[in-house]
Amino acid sequence: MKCINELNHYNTILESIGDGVISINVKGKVLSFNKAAEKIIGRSREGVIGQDINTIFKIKEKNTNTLYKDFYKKAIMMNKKIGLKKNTVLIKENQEEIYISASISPVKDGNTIKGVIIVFREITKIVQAEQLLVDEYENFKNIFYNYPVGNILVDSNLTVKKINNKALKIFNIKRTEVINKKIGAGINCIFNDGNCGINDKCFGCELNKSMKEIFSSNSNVRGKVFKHSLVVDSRNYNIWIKYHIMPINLNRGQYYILNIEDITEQKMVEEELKKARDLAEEANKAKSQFLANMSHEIRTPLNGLLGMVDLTLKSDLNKKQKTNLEIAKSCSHSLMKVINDVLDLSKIEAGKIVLEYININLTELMNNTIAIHKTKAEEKGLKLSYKIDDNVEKNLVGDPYRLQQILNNIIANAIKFTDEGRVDLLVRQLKKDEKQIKLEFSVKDTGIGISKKDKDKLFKSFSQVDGSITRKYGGTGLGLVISKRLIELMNGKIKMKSEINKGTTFSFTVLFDRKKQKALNDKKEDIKDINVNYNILVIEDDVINQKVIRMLLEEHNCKIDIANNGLEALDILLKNKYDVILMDVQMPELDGIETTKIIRKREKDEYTPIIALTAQVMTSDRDRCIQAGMDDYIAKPVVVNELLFKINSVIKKTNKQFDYNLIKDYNKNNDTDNKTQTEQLQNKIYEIVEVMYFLLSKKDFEKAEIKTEKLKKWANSIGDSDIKRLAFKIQLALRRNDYEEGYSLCKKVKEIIKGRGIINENLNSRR
Amino acid sequence: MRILIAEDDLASRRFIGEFFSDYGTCDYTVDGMETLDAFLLAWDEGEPYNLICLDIMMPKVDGLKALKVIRDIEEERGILGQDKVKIIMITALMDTNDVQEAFDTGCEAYATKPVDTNKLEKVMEEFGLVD
Repeated sequence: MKCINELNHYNTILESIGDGVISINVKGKVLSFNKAAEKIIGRSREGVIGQDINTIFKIKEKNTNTLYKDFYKKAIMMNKKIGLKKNTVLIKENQEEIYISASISPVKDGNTIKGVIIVFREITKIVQAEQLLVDEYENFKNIFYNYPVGNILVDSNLTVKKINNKALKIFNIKRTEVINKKIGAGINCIFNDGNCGINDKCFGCELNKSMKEIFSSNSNVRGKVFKHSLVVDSRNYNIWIKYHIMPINLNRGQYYILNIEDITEQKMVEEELKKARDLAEEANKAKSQFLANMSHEIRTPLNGLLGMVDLTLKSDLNKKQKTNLEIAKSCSHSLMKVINDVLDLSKIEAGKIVLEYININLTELMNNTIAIHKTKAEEKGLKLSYKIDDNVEKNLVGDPYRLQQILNNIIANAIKFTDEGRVDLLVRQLKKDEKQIKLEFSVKDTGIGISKKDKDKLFKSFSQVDGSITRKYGGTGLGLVISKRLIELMNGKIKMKSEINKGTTFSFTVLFDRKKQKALNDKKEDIKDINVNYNILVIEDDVINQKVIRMLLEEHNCKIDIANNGLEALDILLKNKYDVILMDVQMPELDGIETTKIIRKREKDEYTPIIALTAQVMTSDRDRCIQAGMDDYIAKPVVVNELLFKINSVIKKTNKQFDYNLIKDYNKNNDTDNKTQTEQLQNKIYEIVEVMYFLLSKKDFEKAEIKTEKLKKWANSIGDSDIKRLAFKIQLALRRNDYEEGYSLCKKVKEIIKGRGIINENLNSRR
Repeated sequence: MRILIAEDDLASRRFIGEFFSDYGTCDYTVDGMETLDAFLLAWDEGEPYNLICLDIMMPKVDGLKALKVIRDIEEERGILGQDKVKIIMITALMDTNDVQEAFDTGCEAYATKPVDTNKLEKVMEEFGLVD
């Protein structure tokens, strides 16, 4: 009874558990088949008892389709519980295949195996989920590896854990060469020695810096750009890289993802662009410089022209001649105006206009402006008037010249384009606070007007509204452009209102300051405040230059000693020490270059900076000075600010070591006999005087004057002030067409030199 | 009257010279250095100039520096009042800083090119240099 009860008890358990349970004998005949097994396989118990298990429980490897026949025999053979391989599917009655797991255990009676129990369950869902995970993993892996941006995963020792294909391509490496190496070694960094980040040379590495930054802050580093030098196939090459670094927590610890873009090409394009831009800027600068130079060169002959015309107009002329000259004069004035406009505009475009900042009396300025245009307006029968509103502040600070230039342009235009009626100028105050005043100037005419269409062209360079106007009214059309730019520089705006055949109103605003006038020359005063207090030796042969430099430097509390030439300087330097030496390059006896070489040779522990003073401005001359051992160079005429700046900076650099190798090539043949040299020079001078005398007797004054210039120079070079003075007197006489005086002075020079009796006999006999 | 015209451009030199020839004997220099030499020479010979026209943009020493050196030399030598030479600065460029500096240093008049001969005549009258 107890036995039956127990059986029932187990049967009930068997029937109620969710796993399929099948028992078979050792021959594979089904003995029992529970409810769950019925459900999973899809067959009823009645039809399977006593059947071969291979026909009931058909299992196979999913991928290879191999049937696992007599699978239970393994359990019997091994005499222990076995499982099924992964990917095993059960073919259900309805041919559906489901993933299952099963345990197959031998049933023993004592030592004899009586049968086998198969316990199994469906795991399709679990397998599918697993598959999903695998797929997902594969997908992410694919995304990572094939991402179009380089990706490198490193751990906190900078060891590369993963790297994607793009990164491999960027650094031109193979995966096996980089995985588990330090990143520097992996990407073939030029400084790599296997220890990325701790090498001395890693100090400047941007990547290294970023890594350190991220280690300490643990936040992202974004969009850094750096140039990396790599070694590929034992060749160095540079790539430009843009990268982001993100810290990332993976299950086994802290990692970092480097996001890398190769921007070498972009950088190269950028560099090309930069080069092109630099070139363009340079060209533009050259253009501005050229124009600045031209400015003087163009104006000077024009001034001559105007002056001569003016002068001739004052002499006795017949009516026709007078008219002609007046036309010439007016043409010259027009040309002057055009040139001034073009130069102004180029100055504005080059950003070279500096506005004045001085007191303006508005009433006075307006009076002057109106006076300029009054005649012209009256000639055309126009009424020209102005009005300043009562509340307008009259004392302003700004640039009166530029303001007047703008007004002149606009008023002249108004008069030009108005044939009858009037031109009115009105000044209103728009705003006033403690610091600034905003005024509006408007010029209203009753002229031909400007159509809406043409309005846009008005403020553009070199355009007048149309060709026919240009022909009728003349002018470059630059005036308004310049005015507009000047107004903008004065923080204002220009507007225009117009109606065809009714008239035009131009109005513009300008922002003035209310402050009292600032010191005119701030910069200069700053320099004046500097007490440089230096001890300076000036080596300069020219008395006037000595005076000029002494005057400039003593103003700044410098103590000045003067040496008249190189030899004198060398003597003085034996006795005294100086903070700096200013050295004229061209001197008689011993020139600046040689003097410097000797000074540098004599110096042992001390070092006195030397600044060259010279009229030669070629770079090659400069190089000559520096090579001789000078520290800097300044062109004559000396600009005091520049000189002080240079003195300051060379003194600061005094501690520098002088490279004595530079003067190894010091020319030892320089100790020429000075006496012989002087004699040679004296002969040279006599030769010149002879030629001069000859030219004067032939009345060739122009050539004679050129000779006097030469005579002056040679006399100066041997320090012969008497001859120099006489030569200069001859020069002055010839220039004022006093030929007799020149002739007699020349005779005097000849006699003086003869009197000295050191003339080379050869030379004498030749004459 | 002795007049010194310091101007490096030939046309301007002729023009200014022609103008001033009506007032006295004109000497000509072509750079700042020569100008200072001439100024000193004239004093040394006992026939100083009564008037100097100084171009601002000149080689070697510019007009403004020349002006300063002339005034300094005069001070050194104790030349005072009416004995001091009258100086007219002349320039092609209307640079207000230059004008300011020239007057600060001690010029008597300032003219921009193109020189207006009418104005120059007035200046000469004001100087009392017209016979």
